[in-house]
Amino acid sequence: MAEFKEISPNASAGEKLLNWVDNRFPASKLYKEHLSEYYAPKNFNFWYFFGSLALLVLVIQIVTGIFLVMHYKPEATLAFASVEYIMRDVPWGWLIRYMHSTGASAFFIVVYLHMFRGLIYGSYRKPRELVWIFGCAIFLCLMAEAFMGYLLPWGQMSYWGAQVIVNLFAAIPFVGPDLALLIRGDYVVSDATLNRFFSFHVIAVPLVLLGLVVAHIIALHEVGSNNPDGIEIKAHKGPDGKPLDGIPFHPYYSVHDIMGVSVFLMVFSAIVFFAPEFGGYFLEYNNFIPADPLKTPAHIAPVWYFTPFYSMLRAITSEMMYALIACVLAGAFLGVTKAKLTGLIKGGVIGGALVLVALMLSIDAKFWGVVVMGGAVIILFFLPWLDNCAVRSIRYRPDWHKYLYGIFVINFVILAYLGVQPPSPIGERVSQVGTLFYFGFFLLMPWWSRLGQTKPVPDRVTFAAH
Amino acid sequence: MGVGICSHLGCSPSDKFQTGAQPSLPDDWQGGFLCPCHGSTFDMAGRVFKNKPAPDNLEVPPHMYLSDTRLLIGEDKKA
Repeated sequence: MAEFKEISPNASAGEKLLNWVDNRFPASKLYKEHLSEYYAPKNFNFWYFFGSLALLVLVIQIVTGIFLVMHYKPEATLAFASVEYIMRDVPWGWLIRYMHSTGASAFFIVVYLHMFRGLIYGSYRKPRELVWIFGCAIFLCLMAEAFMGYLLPWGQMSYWGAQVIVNLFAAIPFVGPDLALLIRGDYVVSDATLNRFFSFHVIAVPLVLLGLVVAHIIALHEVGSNNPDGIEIKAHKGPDGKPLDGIPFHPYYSVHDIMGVSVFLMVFSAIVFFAPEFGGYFLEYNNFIPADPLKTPAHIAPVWYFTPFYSMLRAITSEMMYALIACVLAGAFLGVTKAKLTGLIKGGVIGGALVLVALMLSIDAKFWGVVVMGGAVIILFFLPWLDNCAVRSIRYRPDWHKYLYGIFVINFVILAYLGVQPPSPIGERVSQVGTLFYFGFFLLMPWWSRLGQTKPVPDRVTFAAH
Repeated sequence: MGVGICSHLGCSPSDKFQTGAQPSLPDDWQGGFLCPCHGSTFDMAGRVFKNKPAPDNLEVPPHMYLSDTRLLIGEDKKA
């Protein structure tokens, strides 16, 4: 508890008010800790814009969302028409709606770039594991939020997208069908489903999301930001105890981020005003047809930001299961022969692998497709413990690491592209290879990240004053 | 006679009765049904082809013929 502070009677009214508040609520303290005396490394580059941009998009989504809810009807017979009503009759409704729909895609673009930044500069590594984990949880919430929001316009893609994803849960052995029923609230996607998705989309998930965002920032400000060199700025402090390579977030990065925001808003407005459907990628054409429970559109694909994971789901066929079984057995064999483990653990590894293979043979590929899709997101949570490289940043890793990360990105983009395309035999093979690469990248990371000669890491951050 | 709901994730397979090569179907296609969601293919009797995401054939509901032209769905003689 802070000591009660008296202020000089000659102080201005503003100072007196602030002092009154500070004695009751840590306003100045919070402002200092998180803005004016939060020391961020001075060598932030382009990649560091996306955290603040994600926050901006979150605000855009919440504000436009509030206004959409004022006019939207969460009822199966009225929902589609109410969205058209917003688009045509509500004053500025088209703008609010296009900002919200474009905002959803913008959110994922910004978040994917933000995650990529963390990946290449090792921002997830000790002591920032919780920053990364909160971030992954935010990503997971964002996927739930986007998925449930997509049902609300009640178009064909809304309907059949929800049908497919809810049925994914039905693939879980024993409890699956009942679980799917519980989520849907009906035997088919219906008014009951629409109402509960509406409730989750406008209140439940956003609440969790906001809580996680706060946790993400508190955790970040506790440990301090990483930087493109991946070194700790706290290692060199001046006589005043402030990091020599750090500068206060406000005014330096607040002003810096305003530039990022300006450029972002130029691109964002260009899309909102000139290409809100973005060629069918941000708003799919089939979603302009009202939901019809009797007719699946000829080609259904999720919105672009889900397609890498959707590709991995589609890649798991019964043929692919044999490849996966081979991988499990190879993994267990390597674990037993190469790793330094005690006999008991080795026995456990063999036993575990055999049980897993038995399950893989007995439960059909559909379930494992769901496991792979979920696993592709869940595996991100473990990244801090998978990376064994001696240095954090890609700058000081062996050169071939850069190519590996490059291939990882290209692979992710190819999976995303295939997820938009109708199924084809070649696409299926490519997505199977892509899925194996995606998981290989993470699961073999403890091994490959140790290989090669790292470059000397500088003592102080690389920074040229402008 | 079959329920038009794919045994994979519940989409409605569309009728592809025309034979021969066409998008998303093999070149030696004999006619049947294609699920647009994940590309499962079924033959004319609703039996699923191998190596497709759908784990089962299209479900056959209980049904019986009351006469040559009248079909009752939901009940069969055994029930």
